Amino acid sequence: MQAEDRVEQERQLRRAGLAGEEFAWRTLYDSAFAGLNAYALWRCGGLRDRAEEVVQETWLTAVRRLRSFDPSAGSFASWLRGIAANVLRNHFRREKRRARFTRPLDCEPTAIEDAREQAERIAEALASLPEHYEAVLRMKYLETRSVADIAAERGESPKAIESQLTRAREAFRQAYLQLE
Amino acid sequence: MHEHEFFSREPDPIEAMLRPPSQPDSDTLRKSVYAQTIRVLRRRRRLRQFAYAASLLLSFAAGAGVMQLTISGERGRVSAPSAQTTSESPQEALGALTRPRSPAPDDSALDAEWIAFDSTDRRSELYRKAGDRYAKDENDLQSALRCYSNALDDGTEQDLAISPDDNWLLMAIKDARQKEKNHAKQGS
Repeated sequence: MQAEDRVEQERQLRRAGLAGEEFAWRTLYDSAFAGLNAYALWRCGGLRDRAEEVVQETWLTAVRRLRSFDPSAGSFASWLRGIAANVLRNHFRREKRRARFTRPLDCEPTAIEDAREQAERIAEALASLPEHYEAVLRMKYLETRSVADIAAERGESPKAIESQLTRAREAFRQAYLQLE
Repeated sequence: MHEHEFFSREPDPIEAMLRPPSQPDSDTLRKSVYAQTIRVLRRRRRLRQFAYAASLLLSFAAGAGVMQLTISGERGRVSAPSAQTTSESPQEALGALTRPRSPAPDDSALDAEWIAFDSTDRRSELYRKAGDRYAKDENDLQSALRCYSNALDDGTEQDLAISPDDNWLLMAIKDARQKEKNHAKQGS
């Protein structure tokens, strides 16, 4: 779909959604649900329960704040990803506050707890990355797009994208290790 | 295993960490979240409809109010009192309201008598008119006698003089009153 067509279609759906038209909301919802769900799961390091909370909160925020969605500034899916990223940031802020008042129990963690802890560290490391690093990592790993494709979308050379990917991976590694 | 050692081994574990996790079946989540969002959407639609209905109602009320004001303004212009009347003081206006009116042609003799009774400055004249009504219209001579007597009681000396307009009953009463007066003078 051409960019202009996408903008016009989403503008109409937004207007109809704001007027309370259920078919318009259903169209937006169906077009973006799977993508948002996959994104939330990736951003939560595979933690299903956390991802479901994020998906739920993101959609409820989206339906309440549909007026602030501007199709000319970006697609509905990218607007949703922005909301999800905020939801995750708020979640980690709350977690940090809670961690100050709780102490871990002195017992050996099980394998499940280990896996969960690692997933939480992945999620937190991703949340700590600058937006452009997160974007190239998402396109490369979650959307499994080629470097050439990413470069074309971002209007940069493949070499520049390769370089950004290397830096983004390194930033992620450092963030992950710091959470150790 | 130490983290640095873990990351230094091939293949790079970062790749594994960044790879998308397997997608669980999300149909239940899809339906449940959709139901929640649609509730918000319906609530918003109801609010919009309520706001629309309220604005319609307000517009109707405002229109009706303007219409009422226009009609009452036109009535006010049609029945506007003259400058003379409006220049009356409140006391005068109150007096005009409480002042007994003259009996109208379609008032009964009894009404005319009540009007005379309520009067303060024209009692004699009004009682006489009431008496005329009783005598002429209703042939009630007893009531006419009572009214003529009251008229003469409230009247002056000149009112006792017989006039060509007087009916026979009033002439008789005046004559009797004059004789009475003369007798009283002679007696004293």
